[in-house]
Amino acid sequence: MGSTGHLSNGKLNLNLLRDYYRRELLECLDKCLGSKALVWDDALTGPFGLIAEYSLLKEHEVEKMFPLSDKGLPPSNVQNIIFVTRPKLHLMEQIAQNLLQEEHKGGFRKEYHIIFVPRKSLLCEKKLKESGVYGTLHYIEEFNLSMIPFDSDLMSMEMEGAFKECYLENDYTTMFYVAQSLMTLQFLYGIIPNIQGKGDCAKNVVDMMLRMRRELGGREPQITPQIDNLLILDRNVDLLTPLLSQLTYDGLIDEIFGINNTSVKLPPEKFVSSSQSPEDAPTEKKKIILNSSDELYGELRDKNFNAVGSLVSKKAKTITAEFDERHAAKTVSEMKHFVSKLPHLQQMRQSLSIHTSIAELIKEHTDSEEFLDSLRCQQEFINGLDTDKVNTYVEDCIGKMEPLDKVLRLICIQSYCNNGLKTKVLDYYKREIIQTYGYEHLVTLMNLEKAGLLRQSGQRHYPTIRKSLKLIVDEVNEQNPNDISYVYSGYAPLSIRLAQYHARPGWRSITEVLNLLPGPTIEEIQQIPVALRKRRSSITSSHSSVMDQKVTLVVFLGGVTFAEIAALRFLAQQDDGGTDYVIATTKIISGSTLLDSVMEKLSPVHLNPF
Amino acid sequence: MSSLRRESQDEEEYWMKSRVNKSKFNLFDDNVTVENAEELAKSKKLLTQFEDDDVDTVNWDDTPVSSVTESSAISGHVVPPSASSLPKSASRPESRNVPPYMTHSRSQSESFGVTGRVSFTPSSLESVTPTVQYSKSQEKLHSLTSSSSARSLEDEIPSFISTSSGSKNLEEEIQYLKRALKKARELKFSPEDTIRKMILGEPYSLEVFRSKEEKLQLLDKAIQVHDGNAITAVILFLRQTIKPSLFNLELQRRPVAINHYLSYLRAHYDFKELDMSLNHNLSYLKAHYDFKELGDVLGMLNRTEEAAILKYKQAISAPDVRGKMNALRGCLKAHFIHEPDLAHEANLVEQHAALLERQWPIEDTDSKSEAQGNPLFRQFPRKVSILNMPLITTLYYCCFYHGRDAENLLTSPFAIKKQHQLSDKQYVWTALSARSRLKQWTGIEELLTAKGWFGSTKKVSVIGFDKVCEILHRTSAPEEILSKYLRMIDGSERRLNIARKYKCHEVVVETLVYLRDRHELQVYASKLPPGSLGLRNAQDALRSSTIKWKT
Repeated sequence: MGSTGHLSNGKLNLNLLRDYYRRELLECLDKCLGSKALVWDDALTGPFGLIAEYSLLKEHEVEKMFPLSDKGLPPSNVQNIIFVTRPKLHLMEQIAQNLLQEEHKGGFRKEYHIIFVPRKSLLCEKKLKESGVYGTLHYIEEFNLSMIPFDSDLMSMEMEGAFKECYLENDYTTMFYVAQSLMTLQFLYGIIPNIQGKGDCAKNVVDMMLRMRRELGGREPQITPQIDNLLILDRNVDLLTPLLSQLTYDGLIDEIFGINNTSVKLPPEKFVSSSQSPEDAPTEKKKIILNSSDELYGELRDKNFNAVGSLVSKKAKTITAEFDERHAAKTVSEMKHFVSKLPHLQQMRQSLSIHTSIAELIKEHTDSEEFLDSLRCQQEFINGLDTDKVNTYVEDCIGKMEPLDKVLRLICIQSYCNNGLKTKVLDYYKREIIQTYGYEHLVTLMNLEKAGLLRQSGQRHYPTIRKSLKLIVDEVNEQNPNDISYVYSGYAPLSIRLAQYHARPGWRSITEVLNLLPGPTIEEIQQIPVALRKRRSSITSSHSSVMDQKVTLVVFLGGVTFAEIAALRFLAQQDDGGTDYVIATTKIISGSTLLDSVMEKLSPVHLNPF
Repeated sequence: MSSLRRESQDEEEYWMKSRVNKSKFNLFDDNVTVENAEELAKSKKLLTQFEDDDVDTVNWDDTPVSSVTESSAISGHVVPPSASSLPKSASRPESRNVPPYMTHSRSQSESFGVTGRVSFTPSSLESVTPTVQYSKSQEKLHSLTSSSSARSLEDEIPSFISTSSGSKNLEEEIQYLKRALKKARELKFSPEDTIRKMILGEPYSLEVFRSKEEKLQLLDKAIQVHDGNAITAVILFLRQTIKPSLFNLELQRRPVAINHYLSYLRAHYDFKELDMSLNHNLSYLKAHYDFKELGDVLGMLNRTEEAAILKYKQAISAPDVRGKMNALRGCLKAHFIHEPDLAHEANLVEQHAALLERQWPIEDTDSKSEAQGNPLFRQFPRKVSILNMPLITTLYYCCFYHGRDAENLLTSPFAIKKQHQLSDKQYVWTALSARSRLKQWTGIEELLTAKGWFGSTKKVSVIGFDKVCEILHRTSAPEEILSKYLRMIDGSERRLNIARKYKCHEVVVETLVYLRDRHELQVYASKLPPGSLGLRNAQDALRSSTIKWKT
């Protein structure tokens, strides 16, 4: 994790947030004197990697790091053992086991501590007491790391359970974390004057935020607000978009390989340099960090994949041309000029080769018959074609035992576009799925119904929504897009249309549509002292055009896809948009990860081992 | 300040002594409600058991889990609010001597301890030196705590064990506690304050809320601020302190509270389930308890669907197949059959049970037959057991190993199709794949032959011949077989595309000739390997004068 410059390139300097977290973390660590070993909950290492590097921890006497496991702690002679963990019961059990084993071993005396991220919970403490280890713990700290800055305009909490907890189990703990992180953001960037939102969870978050502000009792930082609007959207306001196959560059990378904490692990074969012999080719997956500090990636990520090829080849040509300049360089100063450009050129060339390889990998996938057929099927559904009967393609997929998540995605899309499925059709699908993939998936299907992803036919809202929000756009320009619909090649994400209307001309123009979508519509204004109010730029101000661009923080509760992020970035770049967007979410999702979270976890069975 | 200090010391004294007389004392207190008294009486009985426990285990290092969890089963039940209130203060460095008390004095004196404690928290915190270290060894604990308080715990131990000197102490204790309680009650906390403290992680106490109205106010306040942690804590407090019938009634009126209670029970259940796999008998019992409660709550709330699914989940988590079959049948009877809304699901659960009942004897016979060296299994060894496999996989298995079995046998594919009402499509998909892998080409022909009018036969495929070819290609059927079925694909363009995909040159050439596309044929022929049948056919066709090529 080298430079973090990319975080400060946006309208909002997210390095401030990162620094804030670093300070908090170090404060936590410095409470324990002496040498330390950190024991990590696996799910936290990724996010922590984005805010602190090992050398920084080392400066604060962290000598060792272990993963938390049942096997107990490896021997060490540090003075402090610090468990860094999420408040989850099974992790508490592991910690208790570790502590009891340590007691047993005796030896060098140590002190034990826990840092809960982001917050301790009643149940966990109860669990620790029941296990009889609560007293062994010295410090029990909370470290409120929740919104992790990913890029100059993107933050994620990386909590994949959020959707399931909110919509399936009605557990709003994550919403509390969201409200808390929004308070942190307001602490750093000033109170956000205008709040709008849609959905039950959004209402929840806004209520908590306003209450927390009241509790502060005016003890808030006196900063001119850097964020003008806050827009909070529930995922269940738009359950269609994440189910569709994303067609942007990073969307496809995520769908195919999975991006976690801004990095992706890819099969190594494509990245073997020609000098290496095939025998010592790496078998380990190649890890690549994806963020805007890689200039080329910054340009490519939001493009429709159909436009990536031409862009890459164009880049390749310019770079070759620039390298060729050295032949033309005759004078010493020309040579010097060339040499000064060299590091940058070399870096570009390297990143070009990486992205060419990634693009090749993606192309293998997008050219496959399975992908194209499934895409065709999705397009038919969103256009409302033959959604009311059993689809033969879906049937064939089940017959071929294609991955369950693919089948479920298609059925859920069909269900949404048909405003719910007829009982006969739904029962038929259920039957086929259960018979083919195992009876246990009865629970999965029930979960999908509960979360609203799968429904029995209800009121016919979709055609109205589709029409009034212009979700289907026939003429798409994938190379030089003129509308957000390019991210799904012809479908404009509903959620982002809402954001678009929010900025201009305002939600009042689409009240009818909003009423068709689930959950309440929220509108709040937070009063701020007159002195802190942003001055409407006067005509004489030279920066008027820059100042006029408003910053909107869009929060997606329950996850957002890369394609939606791309669409928002596209809106931010529009000259007439007048709004810059910063995006925050509980987790960056794709259709598969969304469905995975509500699926019944079965031990992985090879569908047909015989 | 000094007076406060003294009080705090008094309090500590009380804590130590109270252990002797705890239950008696509590019962005498006029503030103890009927429910409380009942609980106390119950736990007193249990407590004596633990006292024995203590004697047996000299060093509870070795058996900490069992003894502690057992005790917590009771204390957790009797006084969860204290458990929830203490961590907040315990997390402060200054109050590090609190946990030892908590874990050590497993009695319900805790709950009173808390009542008294909270009001004095600030002072008691200061009276403690922060260097105290909690250790698991009992002896160490005493010696360590003794350094922090005027009267050492060790001194107290004799009186703790011998009950002869108890009566006088008891009197004092009662007096003291009455005073403390009175004081605590005078210090009225508003529900708002308490909830705020809970959220901010400051020490708080729920015991000061005595009337039902106050407690409910507290709950409503917690719901209002959407804080899950606080809501759960208050609910658990309510569960302990008001009648179950009232508890259920009030819960029903508050859907948000229900959700939190359910997710608490669920978290416990899931976790216990996890624990169960580690073979903790005790937690199995507890899991069972929590599970029952979860089921009961769902039933009470008329969430029959959820309750049914929960039971189903429990049934399928049974480790052995026999147990699973019984559990499924039981759960079907109890939760699915009588629910009209769950008719479809009931049918599926019924099928699940039926499938297991079929798999069980098949597995039994086949594993024996395999062990005896049946040539079929030697030729195609079974990779895994058929148990717990999905229905379609089971069908495939039966088609593969028992394709010719009579319909009255369990292994007959037809019987499976019939019992589970599988569609023709599903059946053909599966049977075709199995037969193709076994290279039973005649079998495939049978499968795809339908009797027409007047005894004539024709080839029919419910899944379309393109799919048939796909399966044949996947199982690497020989070219002549593949060609045979390729020719049955309707639509020459489609046939051409699929034949090209599977590189069936003969069919491609035939189709091109049929389409009279000379140009394409020439192009295609140029790519064919010399001497191949396809090339010869193509050349013949190109030379032929009878074909009227398209112009």
